Amino acid sequence: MDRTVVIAIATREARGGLRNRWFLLYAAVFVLLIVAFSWVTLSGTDVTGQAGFARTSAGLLNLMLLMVPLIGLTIGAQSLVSERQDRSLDYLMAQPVGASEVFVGKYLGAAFAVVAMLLLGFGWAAVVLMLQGGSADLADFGVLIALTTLLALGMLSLGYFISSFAEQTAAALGIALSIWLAFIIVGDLGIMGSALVMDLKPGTLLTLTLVNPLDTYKLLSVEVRHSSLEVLGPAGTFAIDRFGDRLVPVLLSLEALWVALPLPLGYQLFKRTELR
Amino acid sequence: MIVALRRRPDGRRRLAGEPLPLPAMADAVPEVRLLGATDTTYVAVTDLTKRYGSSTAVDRATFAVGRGEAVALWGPNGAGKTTVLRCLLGIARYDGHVAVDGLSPARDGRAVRRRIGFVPQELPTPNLTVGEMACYVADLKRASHADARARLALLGIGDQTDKGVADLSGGMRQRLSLALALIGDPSILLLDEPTANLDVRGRTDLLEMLRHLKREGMTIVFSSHRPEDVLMLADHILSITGGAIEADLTPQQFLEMLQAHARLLLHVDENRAPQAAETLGRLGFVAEGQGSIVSVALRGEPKGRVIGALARAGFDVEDFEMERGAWTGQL
Repeated sequence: MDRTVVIAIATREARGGLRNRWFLLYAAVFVLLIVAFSWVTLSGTDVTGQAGFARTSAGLLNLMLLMVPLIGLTIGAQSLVSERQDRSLDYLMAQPVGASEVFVGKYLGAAFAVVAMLLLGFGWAAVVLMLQGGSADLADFGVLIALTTLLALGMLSLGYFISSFAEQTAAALGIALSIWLAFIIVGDLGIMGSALVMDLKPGTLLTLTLVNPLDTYKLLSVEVRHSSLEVLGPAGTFAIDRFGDRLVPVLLSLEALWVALPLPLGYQLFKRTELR
Repeated sequence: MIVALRRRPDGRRRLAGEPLPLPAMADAVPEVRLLGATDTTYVAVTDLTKRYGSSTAVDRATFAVGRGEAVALWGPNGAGKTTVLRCLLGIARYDGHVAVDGLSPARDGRAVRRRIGFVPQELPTPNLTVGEMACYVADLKRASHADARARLALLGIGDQTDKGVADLSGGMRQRLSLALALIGDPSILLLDEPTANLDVRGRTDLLEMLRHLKREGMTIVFSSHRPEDVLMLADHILSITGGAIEADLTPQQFLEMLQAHARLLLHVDENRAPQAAETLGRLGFVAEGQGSIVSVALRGEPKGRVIGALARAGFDVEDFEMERGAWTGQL
């Protein structure tokens, strides 16, 4: 793989992404929501700014759970397929480049753009918090940013995987949105409902939780910031019992798998999907 | 180099739209090679077949292109011209044997594409400026940005680098497309319907540039369904229909074939065209009419004979025009 070519493709992808109107719309909504959320959260603080970042981090978690997967999945899902559809992928592949360089370069570019969007949102939120006098637990806020970035990259990889075989942008977006809904609604509610109706054991509950990257992210966010997983119910308690000190590495590995696993699978499909 | 290209040989500044300077090799006549590979063969294709599911896009195509030759893939839309180009580029899987400069696009795709400059029918319009696009393509080809800038200047768009690619007119975009194709000093140009979206002036400009490149020794393979383009540029013409190569023609043979299959369009009184066509049919002509236009297939017959026949039958012929592109390659 030629590094110069990969960098060229990644740079062009990132630049194109940052100028894309949908991407800009996403970014604007994301920044607006995160800043508004931070402002509202901190407005209720009695002692000026005390533990502002920690309170906001906890509050932002739910917003991230909703928005970040949606952004990652839809941007990833559109990436290859939209260019395949408008034939710009044809033009790129007609240059002296390899399929692996195109695949990796475009993913890196999209990843850069998504991470830039997250940092922009969190950055503005931090500015708002500091202007309001928030001072404590900056590290807590940093952990949330890092974990959210990992989640975003995982969802981007999954979206990219969809994009590697889909023939129509609409179809790719449809699949991406279905997966998002499955993670958001079916995941949470499904597990709760199944637990009640089928009287699931904590071990089974934990397994079901661990296969959902959003739940893993939630567990990680609570655990890493030294909170008690008991607030997450029997699955959380069982997770501590089952994994003990290894819980964070296990959860981190699972999140990393969502980033790493879809890419080689997607590449195999990308190579086989013929351009028309 | 840029300055030199912008000035005439006598040192005066070149005017906008003025043809590019001709190189010293301008008088060199490219050697014409027809079917059958020789030591000057640059592209050799044998039994090239491409299927998409159950449909056959290219059916056992065999041809050769010599170094410095300009070859046209000519045929109607959907004939398989673009697919042949995609196989040469190595971006479509195929059966059969293809060699570009002795290399297989299927096996040595990157090396083959390094030798090829590709001009698509329509250049993608990413959110990039002309300058950014040129540098991007230069990076992909591992060429220098200076080379990219020189190509833009060569094609007369060196002053458009800050303009968005999407903001360029069709003609300028095609110039850019050709400039991008020339980055990295390719030895062969593949062009997919390069004039399809251009107006008359844009077409003439582009074809002039291609003729210039051909005179410099560039090998050119282009697809087209415009007879005028084919006649202006090609050394020989591969007529493709339904994915199969029907004929390999010299320009003279091509012209004769066009003339033999030309159609005469006659303008008669409104709604009398069907009646006029029927009359011509009775006289042995192949004609069809709709509204006020009668279309007559000419197979060598003098135009005056058709017009005279209609006049004698009581039809007023108000105007007429020739349609040379009526032949779609079917022999």
